[in-house]
Amino acid sequence: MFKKYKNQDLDMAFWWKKNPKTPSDYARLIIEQLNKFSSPSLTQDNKRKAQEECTKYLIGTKHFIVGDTEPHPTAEAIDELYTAMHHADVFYELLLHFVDLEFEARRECMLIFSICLGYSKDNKFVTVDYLVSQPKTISLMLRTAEISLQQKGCQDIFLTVGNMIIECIKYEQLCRIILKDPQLWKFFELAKLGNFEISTESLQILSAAFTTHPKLVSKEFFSNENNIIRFIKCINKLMAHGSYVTKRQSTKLLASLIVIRSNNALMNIYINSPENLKLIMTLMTDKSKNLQLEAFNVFKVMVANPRKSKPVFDILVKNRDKLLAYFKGFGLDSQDSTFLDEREFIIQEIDSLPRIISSATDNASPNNVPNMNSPSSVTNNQSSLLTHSTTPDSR
Amino acid sequence: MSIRSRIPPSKLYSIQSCIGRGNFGDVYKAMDRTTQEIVAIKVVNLEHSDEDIELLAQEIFFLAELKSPLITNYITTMLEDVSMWIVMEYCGGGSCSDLLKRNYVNGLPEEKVSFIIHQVTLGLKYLHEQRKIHRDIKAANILLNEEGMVKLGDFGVSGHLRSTMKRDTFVGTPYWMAPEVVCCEVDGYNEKADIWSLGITTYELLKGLPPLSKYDPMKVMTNLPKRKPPKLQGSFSDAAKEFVAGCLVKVPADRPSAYDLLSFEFIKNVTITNLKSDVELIKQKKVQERYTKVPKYPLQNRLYKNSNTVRGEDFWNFESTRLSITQIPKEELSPVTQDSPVSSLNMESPYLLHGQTVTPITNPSSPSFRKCTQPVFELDSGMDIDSGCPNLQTEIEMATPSNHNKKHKKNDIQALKIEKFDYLKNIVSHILNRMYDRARDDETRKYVNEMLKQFMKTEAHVPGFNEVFIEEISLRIEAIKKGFV
Repeated sequence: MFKKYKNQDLDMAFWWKKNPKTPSDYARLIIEQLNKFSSPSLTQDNKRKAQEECTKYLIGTKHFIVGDTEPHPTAEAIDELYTAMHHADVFYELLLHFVDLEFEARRECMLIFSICLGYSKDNKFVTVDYLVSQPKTISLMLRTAEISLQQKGCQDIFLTVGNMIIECIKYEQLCRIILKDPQLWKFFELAKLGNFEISTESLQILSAAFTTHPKLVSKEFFSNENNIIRFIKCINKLMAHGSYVTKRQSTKLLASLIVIRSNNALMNIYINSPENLKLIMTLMTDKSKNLQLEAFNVFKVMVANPRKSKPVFDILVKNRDKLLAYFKGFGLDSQDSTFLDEREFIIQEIDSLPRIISSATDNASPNNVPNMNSPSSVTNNQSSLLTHSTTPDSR
Repeated sequence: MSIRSRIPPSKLYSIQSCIGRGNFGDVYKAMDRTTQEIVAIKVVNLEHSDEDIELLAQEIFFLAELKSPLITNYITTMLEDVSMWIVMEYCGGGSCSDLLKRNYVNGLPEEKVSFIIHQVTLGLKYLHEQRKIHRDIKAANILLNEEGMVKLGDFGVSGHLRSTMKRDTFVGTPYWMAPEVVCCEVDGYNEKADIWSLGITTYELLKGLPPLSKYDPMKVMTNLPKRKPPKLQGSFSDAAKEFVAGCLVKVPADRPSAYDLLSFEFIKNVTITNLKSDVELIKQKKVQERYTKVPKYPLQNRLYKNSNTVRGEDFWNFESTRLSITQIPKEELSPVTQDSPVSSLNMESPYLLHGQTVTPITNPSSPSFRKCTQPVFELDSGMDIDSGCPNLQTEIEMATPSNHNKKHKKNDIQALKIEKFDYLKNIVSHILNRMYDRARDDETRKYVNEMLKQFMKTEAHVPGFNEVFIEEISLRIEAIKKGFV
């Protein structure tokens, strides 16, 4: 037996067959294999072979790109590889055949992708710039996430694409493309699915997209009122009907967004709707203490709003005593001084709401036929509302 | 398993015993009911854990990207009540720390250590190639399966949170931590940290305890950056000493990689192929000791006792806008209400009251405010009421009044009475039963029956239908009585 050259082990199996001679060979060989998947005469055997080859070349590409090969590739060689990959739209082609690839190949693909995103030359993110100039890749990536769900073992594929999307979001220019793509809304749907992995990953994608670059989001996304309306509609659905985790995470996302000053438009629309207030109050009575806390972080903004809409004000007034009773038992074990201050402030705000000596109590004569009472109670309530409707203005 | 299904994991797996417990979660041995496969399930109670869900999820998805015979493989994660069930490959042989505790209190024989460490090094090589860091290498996290094969376990999932972030939970781990991890050098902290821990673990396996274990862990940790690296001393081979010294190099960049370590003498010539006999021995001892663990959060302690969670409407008084809630089945009802003469004349139709009351908008900066009050934002659109109930009859029967009437609240006092009021049962069904009794012939009875079924069916699909229906009838009658028509 021979001594190994510089501890070199056998991970270099790919060198044997079609030995990539120049860096651009990697890109060419990957594309060559991928094309085989679209061939109409593809047999099961051939497919497996192409899959294996793809995995091999992808592993080779990764080793090359991180400089794991002997001898280490020169900077020029690495540049050449990037140029070749961009030129051949390797990522686009990989995504096109993503479901055809082996588990390992998809993972390699994700690794290579995130390495490429972080690669900069002359202070420029080469791959990011390329993706901006070729937005079809990102668009396909977002669609691939959804398409993958029709496959068997789809969680794996979904998580891998999901991670690629999250990697993209880290870069502002790519996040912009994602925010503009209508496909983004799909993830609100997917976040509602029963599968924990898919719903959680979808929510992670949404959280990342809306919180990583706050300025971008407020300037270019929430500047559009249609986006705001749709966002509220979507996130409310998650908060009302999601799983325990989805409810907590979506409420947290909303709370974190509306307290950002530049998201004023979103906040104003959200906190002035009585339906939103009802949803938030409902979440505050959920059995989960954590969810109650997340909901409180939205509720406090609604209560602290000096110019509450009339319907919101009405609900708060009507529930003044109940709210005070609620807050007596809320967050008692917390040590967080900011939270305790906020709670104190909110209690004071609620305490200062006008009390109603409601006409409702007057008409509540004992009646054994409650349903017969319902229409009249509606009218009465209405009048009771009208009588104190002047209060908000006089405050 | 469908991606839409919400089958609780307790239906898919039968729990056999608790095999571990910790602050972050209890670990159970369980069986997949369909495949009979034995798995390990880590149950993390999210309500009682202050771990950030987002970080936990990232850790889990980190696991999902790994597949190798050298690690305990991830299978899936599910949610039940407020707990996350992380399903992993089961390692029936226990951990290397069991091996130390039960079979070799003073350390394992060198050839066994070299076998274990060789496998772990291969596992780390795999992990590092995936650009991942374990962060918590120690004997307790090196697991053995029933065949006595070595698998790297317990990484990700709060393992790393535990050792690096959470103050209260990281006691016990500092002995294995690399100096740069202790210093929290964010930049200089990479996969080489695992190599340091591997060195400490080798020491641990050979001697039975990690170095400095008689000292307070916090002190060990704070002193670590100042100290010289620990040294393996005593009657061990030069190869073992060389390996430990090779791992325990203070400057991460000077530490060998997992790949480099593979050519160290100590693990190059491994003579053993498994630890099956040791695994058998541990098993026997465990049986003798009647080894069981008591979970910290028993699975039967559930936050949401039944699937019907309490609705906020029961607690709060939303009555003025109550009508807009029942407005939800608008698609179905709107033609009726729009054609209704009452509505068109602007009588007390609740449908119109809401839309037509001109509420002074206190906030002029939100022109779209009116859009927000549209029912699209309603929380109670009935979507979560699983209308896919296959057996309608049983659902109706089960529907106690409170079940059906939860969201239809009157004002406080009336609420007390109405709380339990079921429009379908107490009015519609009542009326139709009386009509059934009054019917003269069977055919009439049949039609009455059909009618009742129709109401039940509609209520199941459009919760609140019966209430609105009765409300409209009584409104109309009121209006007629008052002579408006």
